[in-house]
Amino acid sequence: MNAPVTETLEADVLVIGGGTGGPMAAIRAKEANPHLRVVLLEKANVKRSGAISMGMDGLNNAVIPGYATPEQYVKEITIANDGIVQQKPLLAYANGSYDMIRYLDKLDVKFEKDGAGDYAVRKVHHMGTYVLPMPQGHHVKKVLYRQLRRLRIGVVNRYMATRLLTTRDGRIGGAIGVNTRTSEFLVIRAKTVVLTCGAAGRLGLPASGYLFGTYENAANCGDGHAMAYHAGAALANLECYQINPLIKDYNGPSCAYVTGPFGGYTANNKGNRFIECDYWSGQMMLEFWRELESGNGPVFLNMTHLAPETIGEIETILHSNERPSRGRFHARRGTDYRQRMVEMHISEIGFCAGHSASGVWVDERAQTTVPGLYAAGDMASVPHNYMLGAFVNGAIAGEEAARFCAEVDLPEADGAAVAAEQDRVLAPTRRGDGLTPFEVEYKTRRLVNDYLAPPKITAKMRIAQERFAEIRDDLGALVARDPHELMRALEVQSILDCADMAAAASLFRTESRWGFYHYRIDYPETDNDDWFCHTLLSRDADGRMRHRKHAVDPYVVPVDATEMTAYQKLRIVPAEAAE
Amino acid sequence: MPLAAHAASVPVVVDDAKCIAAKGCTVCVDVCPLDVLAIDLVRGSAFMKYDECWYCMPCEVDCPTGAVTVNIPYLLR
Amino acid sequence: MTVFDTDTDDLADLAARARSEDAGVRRVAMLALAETPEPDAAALLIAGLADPAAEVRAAAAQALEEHAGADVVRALAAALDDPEPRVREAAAAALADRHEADAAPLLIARAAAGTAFARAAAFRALRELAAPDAGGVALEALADACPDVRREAVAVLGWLRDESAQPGLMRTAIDPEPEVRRATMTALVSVRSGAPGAAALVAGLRDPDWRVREEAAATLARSRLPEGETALIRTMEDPVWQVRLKAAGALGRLRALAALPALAIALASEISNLRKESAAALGEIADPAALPALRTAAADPDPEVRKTALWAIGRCRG
Repeated sequence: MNAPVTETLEADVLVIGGGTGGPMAAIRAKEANPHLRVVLLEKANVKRSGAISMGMDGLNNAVIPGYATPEQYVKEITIANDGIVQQKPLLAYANGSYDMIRYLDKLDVKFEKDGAGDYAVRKVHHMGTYVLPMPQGHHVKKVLYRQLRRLRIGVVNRYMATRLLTTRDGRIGGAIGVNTRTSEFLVIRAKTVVLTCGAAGRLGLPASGYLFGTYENAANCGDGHAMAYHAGAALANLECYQINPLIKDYNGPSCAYVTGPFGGYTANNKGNRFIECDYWSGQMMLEFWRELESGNGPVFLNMTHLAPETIGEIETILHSNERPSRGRFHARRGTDYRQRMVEMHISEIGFCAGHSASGVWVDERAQTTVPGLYAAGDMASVPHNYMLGAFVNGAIAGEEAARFCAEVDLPEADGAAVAAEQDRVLAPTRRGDGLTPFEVEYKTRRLVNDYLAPPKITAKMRIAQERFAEIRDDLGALVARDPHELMRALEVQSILDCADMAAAASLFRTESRWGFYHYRIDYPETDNDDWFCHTLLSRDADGRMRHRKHAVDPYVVPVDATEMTAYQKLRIVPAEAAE
Repeated sequence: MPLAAHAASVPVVVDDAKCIAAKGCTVCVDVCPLDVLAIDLVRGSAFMKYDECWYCMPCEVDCPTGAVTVNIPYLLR
Repeated sequence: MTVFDTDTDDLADLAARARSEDAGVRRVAMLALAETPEPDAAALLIAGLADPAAEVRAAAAQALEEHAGADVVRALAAALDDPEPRVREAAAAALADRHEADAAPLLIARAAAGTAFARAAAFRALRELAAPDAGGVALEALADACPDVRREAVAVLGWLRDESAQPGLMRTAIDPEPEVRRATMTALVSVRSGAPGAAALVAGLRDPDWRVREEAAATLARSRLPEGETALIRTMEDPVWQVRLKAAGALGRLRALAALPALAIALASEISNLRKESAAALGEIADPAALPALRTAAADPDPEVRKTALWAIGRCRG
């Protein structure tokens, strides 16, 4: 058999993932030092990749002077995450938030402004105000792409990174990628790597059964989580799933942040509000799930009380930004916001720090536990990132990586590791028949729904582990007939890794926390004595999953007990929720 | 385990009369995050090759001639 | 072979395709030139704006959004007169939202004369530049026959925050077109108490169009003009709840003690959004006299109203 076609590149900073945080990391690394060789690798095309491929309709977490302070923001996110946060990265984000908004503004990203050109932040009473609408936010990707070209950053599209390379002393050494259209290989030797691969959003199966009808961009399937894991990096709090409210069947966001300021709200089948929780959190999702399961379900997005002019404005925003096909979905079902409430549901499970909290463990400098490896955005552990967090933390990662480059030499690529990886990648192309990636993916994700989705039950999660082990054996029968199918065959291996991590992490934490995200029927109480800590999952020398507890660092922004209790009083006791 | 040939209706529809792939245009194929579109060299137009659609719409919005329509996949409708 | 997408566009090849006999090929070349950062690419696109085929000109105009420089702005400004609407519209979109300050003189000249479409587009492009020299031409345009031009000129003046423009804005505050009046209310946000524009903003609360009234109340909430208080309290009887809601917000921001009875009545509205906003306003005002009404609201069936009322009660107790 011929050796696979392999191209080699050298980079100072290699960024993997060209969605939101990735382009910003590349841009800031290059701006920090224009002499650096910055390479941005993307599985799709940076023009339209990642969670914001069609744009974004607003910032949910803008910390703008006069409306909110960084300390207030850190406090609220701490409370929303039941206290299990690293406050330093949160504070680093909050401190960088306003500068990033102005930087994006300078690059021509459009934020809503008032009649005198000041940011039109939406005021919400009794808490900090973080919503800055972007009614013309469909230009975001265009703006990023323009800046990448201006800075002449090396963009490599349609290469999927499959594994990271590490040096003998445990430092990052680069990555291996495969072309999704030709199956040619690319070996990139790099002094530093920034992972910005997005959420693990193709983990649970959407209720529709359509594999790609996911809440997240279906390209974001946990490649980054899997690569970090195999490189030895620690992943944090993976049992804290992401589950989001959404438009039923369409599976796209309901965009309460867009409709809320116009007066729309989430209602039960009586048309009444029911959500008590102030924070987007697992607690809120527990209330949502309880309402869905109760006699008041299903749940709806209600705008029927709004004026036609207002609804027209909402439609313009919703049908031209983040998920524009929703208008088409509603039209086909005859759902007019003016006349009918829109049925909602909750999403399949995934890992995503954008709305939740789990991911590759990073500190306030976006450093993972592997020297030279950084991570940002939906796949890193900074909670409630959203789009602006991906930008701010991506910028931090890019700047830190640029700095780290000066201290190290370019590592040699480990020839044996490259050869072994090429064998693993190409194996499905060397079989004439077997199991298709579609079948293996469907089965894995169906089992995720059956056994891992909350409410979590120990016995079910153990069954999941047995089934996943069987599927792992089946990987030896995967067949790919073209480079596209090979991409899917590689993706399903990331999905299976994430499924295994979700099960293992959920079993490790023997308590309930974060509302619905980690609601364990057989451990219904929150146990602060044993579990007020992070959990870190990593791969040991023998290739097994290893867990450890990691203490919550002392807070840099104190949260007094009454504030925490005021929130706790609103909580539903899980036992009630189960009724 | 022999493989079966599966038929599936595809959500993305291309109007051959409007498509200018024959002139060298590859916009829709370039922008698809899931890489499910391709150019049919014989017909000189784009088509949906894999039923793996996130109905995200860059192909339709970025098409310079309005040749592409994204429908909601049947299982979701 | 190179793996870099950013390096693959060969300019010589693109230039040849941009001069092809086939309009379809030229059009596709324009698309590719959008992504080529070299100045030569901009020159080819500028040439494309004079192409005989409208679809090529439209593609060129759209592609020039990705390029900067005085030549680009001049060419796009000229393309605002293209006979084909889609070319004009693409040129207008490509001109808007630029942060090129040195483009101002050219755009000011374009805003001063020509078709209504071109002038409106030039004002739209001038808005974010906030160039003081644009004030004169914008003031003149307030009397333009075309509502789009008047509306865009109003927006330019808003961004300039120039008090001397207020007499002009007082006229557009009673413009025949609701959209112009609404834009005027938005533009009056930087008006200071006692300035001439303040009266126009307060008078906007009595506009026949509810969206103008809503915008006036929202702007009063931002600018916190004390002279708005009495009119805002009267607005709590507006027939449209959306207007009452913005008025309640403004009264809260003004800490208007005299608004307590009107806000207490609104706490019993059948619209829960208005009940919530009124409770929040009472919390902002923070006067113990509001406590009885707020205690009732603390048992509201709507959790958002309840939570806001509880917060407001805490504030009223000091």
